Amino acid sequence: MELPVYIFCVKKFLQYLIILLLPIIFAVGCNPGITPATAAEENQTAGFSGTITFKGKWSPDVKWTLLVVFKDPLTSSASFNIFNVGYISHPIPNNVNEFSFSTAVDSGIIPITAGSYSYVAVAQSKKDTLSINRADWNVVGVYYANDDTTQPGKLTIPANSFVTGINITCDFNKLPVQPPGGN
Amino acid sequence: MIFSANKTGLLKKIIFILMFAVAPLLSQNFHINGIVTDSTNNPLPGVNVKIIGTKLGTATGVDGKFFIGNLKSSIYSLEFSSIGYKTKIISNLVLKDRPLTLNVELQQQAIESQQIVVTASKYAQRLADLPVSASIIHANLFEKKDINDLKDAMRYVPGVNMIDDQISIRGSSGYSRGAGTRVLLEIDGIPYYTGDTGEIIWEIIPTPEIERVEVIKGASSSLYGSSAIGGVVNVITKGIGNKPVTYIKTSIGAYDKPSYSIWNWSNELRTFTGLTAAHSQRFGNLGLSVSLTRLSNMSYKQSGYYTRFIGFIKGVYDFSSTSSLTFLANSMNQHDGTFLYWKDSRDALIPPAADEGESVTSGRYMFGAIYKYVLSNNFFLNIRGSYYRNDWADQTSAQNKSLSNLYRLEVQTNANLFNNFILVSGIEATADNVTSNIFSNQTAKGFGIYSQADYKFQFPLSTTFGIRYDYSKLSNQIGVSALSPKTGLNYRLTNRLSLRSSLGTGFRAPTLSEAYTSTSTSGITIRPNPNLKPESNWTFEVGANYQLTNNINLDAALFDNEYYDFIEPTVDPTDGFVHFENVTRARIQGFEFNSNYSFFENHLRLSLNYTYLWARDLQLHQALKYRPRHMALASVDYSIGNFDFGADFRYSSKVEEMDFELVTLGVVKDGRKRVDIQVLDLRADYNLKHFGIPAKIFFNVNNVFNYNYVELIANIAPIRNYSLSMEFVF
Repeated sequence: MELPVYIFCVKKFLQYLIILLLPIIFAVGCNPGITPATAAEENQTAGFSGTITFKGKWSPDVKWTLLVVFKDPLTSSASFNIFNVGYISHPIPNNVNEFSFSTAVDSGIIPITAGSYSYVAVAQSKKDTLSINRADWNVVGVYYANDDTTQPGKLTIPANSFVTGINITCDFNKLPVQPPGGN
Repeated sequence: MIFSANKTGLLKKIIFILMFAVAPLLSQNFHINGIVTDSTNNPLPGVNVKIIGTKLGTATGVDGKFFIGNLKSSIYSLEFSSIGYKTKIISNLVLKDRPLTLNVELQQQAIESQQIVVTASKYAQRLADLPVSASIIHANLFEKKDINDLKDAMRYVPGVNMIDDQISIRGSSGYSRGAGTRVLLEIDGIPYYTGDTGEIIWEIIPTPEIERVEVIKGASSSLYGSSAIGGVVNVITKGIGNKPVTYIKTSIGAYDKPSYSIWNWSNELRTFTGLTAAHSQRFGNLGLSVSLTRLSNMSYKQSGYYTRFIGFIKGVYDFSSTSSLTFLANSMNQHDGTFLYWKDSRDALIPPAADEGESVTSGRYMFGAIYKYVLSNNFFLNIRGSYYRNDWADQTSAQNKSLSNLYRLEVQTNANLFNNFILVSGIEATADNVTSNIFSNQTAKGFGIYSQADYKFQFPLSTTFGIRYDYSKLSNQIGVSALSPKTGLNYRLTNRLSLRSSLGTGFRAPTLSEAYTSTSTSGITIRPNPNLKPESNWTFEVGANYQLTNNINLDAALFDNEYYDFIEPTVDPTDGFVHFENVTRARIQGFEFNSNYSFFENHLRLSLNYTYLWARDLQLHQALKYRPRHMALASVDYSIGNFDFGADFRYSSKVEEMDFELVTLGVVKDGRKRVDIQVLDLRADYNLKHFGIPAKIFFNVNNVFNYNYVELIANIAPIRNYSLSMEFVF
């Protein structure tokens, strides 16, 4: 190839390359990448709150009492798994008669996010270690919507919304229907 | 003629006088010395200088200088050769009366295909003759980009993506927090993975000692056994020249402010510094090279800091022209903070409160010996032995600690049985013991035997067939074994076009850490699974290399990798505990296109690379974790006078999947935040030899646009930083 032709080809190549690369560089320069969650997002975190009322005498053997939210209905012991869990509170103290909770205060062991949940319950375990083995737990209270105690109430938390009034009664003398897989 | 007695006596005297006068001239030795530089006048170390037709020769030192002594007065022809440069022959040099001093300039070979690699088949081959894809990182990348950690250089290899410190070649790996690797790292052919976690410790490699790094893409278990299921990275260290050379490098840098004021957790300037001192010298048949490096980094992340000392000794003793013993000693002592993931996206540069103040102290030591013996022109023996000791302890609530000792021995023979037929065979044995509270006290052993036959037909067609048998056993578990065959073809269709194809299998035995880890840290509980099976794959590749002009080289490859019994960290849904399990049947397909250009007498160099990956979990019908679909690299270098300027751009598309179980479990907040990777780096350097100073100054700006991205879940990659470094060679 003759030198002037070669230089011409190279110049053309570089010209096209620069034309190609400039928009990319411009796009990169204008794109900040990952951004922090906005303050509004932080302050309007989806969540729920309510009151748990305990009736009857606490068993002295209880080691854990937790508020637990499941995404899908508990149709078998296999449904009682970590990926079906939408929220687990920090432990509720033993021997209380009433316990007010708010996910804004207690983000929980597993925090809640916006979405629809099929089963909200208070469960107790007598095991020393925290497990998610269905056999280790007894459900002592279930959330019922609109006083309909025939089936567990659904909890729907819209994005950036806070749902209140999720009240649960735990009557140790009259336990609710247990989900499958228990003892 | 008849002489009288007197005349005979006079003649004797004349001859006697002449003999005394001429004798010094006849016996006088001369030398040839000089300096070898590249087209931009930079000295080239490690250039082979050979006197054609003799066994005499040497290699240039770090300063590019060479010296060949004890030469008789004669006419010589010299050959100068170096990987990455066109071989130059200077003929008919008349050495008479006085020594010769040469200034030799080598032209960089824009044609990557002409370069030599030793890793693909355990002997030297041209890149274009390989049946598999390979890439080379040259030493000048570390120099000009002020790279002190090999893993940072791997980000500029086409088809490779780094997930923090874990390497993935063509999508071979996700992220397993240091447990195991699917890519084998070697230093001068000695495998370099830890005895307990089976991971690569990139930081231990002394980058100033690197001559080049060869990267073989695709399953290489037929030669290298377990761990090479996804490829091999072989670090070739610099040779030791005849002339003593001292090398000093110092660097200082700082991170810019984060993009968002709420991320600004420190009022201090976050700096990093480095200092390397190295010396190499020959003492008769013994060549010695010693280097010591200290690196310190305050980090842009809280708890991301480290202080590191790297020691390296290389000794080469030539018993004769046919046998030598190389001794390697490499150490790293480090204290570093622990940053597993951010607190949340508003506190992206600080760890969760529970992890604050956590750190790890480690001491890692490798001793290796390589004995080379050329029995004849057709038979070559290579014995490699090594000991790798790893000792670390973390300062966390779990107080994890581990001490592992890994011993390894390999005997390799290369036989040129008849014309164009090379047989590479070897046996390898490993023994490993671990004392640890996180893996318990464990032992492991392994054995491998391999053979590979390469035959070059006249066409020219090169064929390869290899097979390796491996046996490995972890503690009291039942031993497992695997056969890994491989076949390959390379056909040089024309002088400019070569085609390649390979079909191979790979295998990886579970590491001690994958089988026995039992700990709880940062909200994650890991439990052991000693019943892990080895994972395996088969890989197919077809590729072409085309030398369009003397200055433009194009390379393309299509590949398909099928993985079975993939070992992956998994969350048990019944208890939320993490354990390693053979879970996945995976398929990784894609193509890679690489191109290199050189213009204006090599003053302008350009490289453009693109890789497409389709990496799917065939059981879950979703993308494999941490595999981007598109990866691209572009780099440009321009040399003018004593200045060099360059820019590098990296792109990876947003990964579809990460460890989102950690988000579901509430361990990581805002962990789904991820973006494309788009990073631009700029650099410039200046050679001070113009002023008679044997030094160069380098200036780098990395992540120019301060683009915020993650390679690993909830871990912001390095923000914009500046570095100034200077190196002296004398």
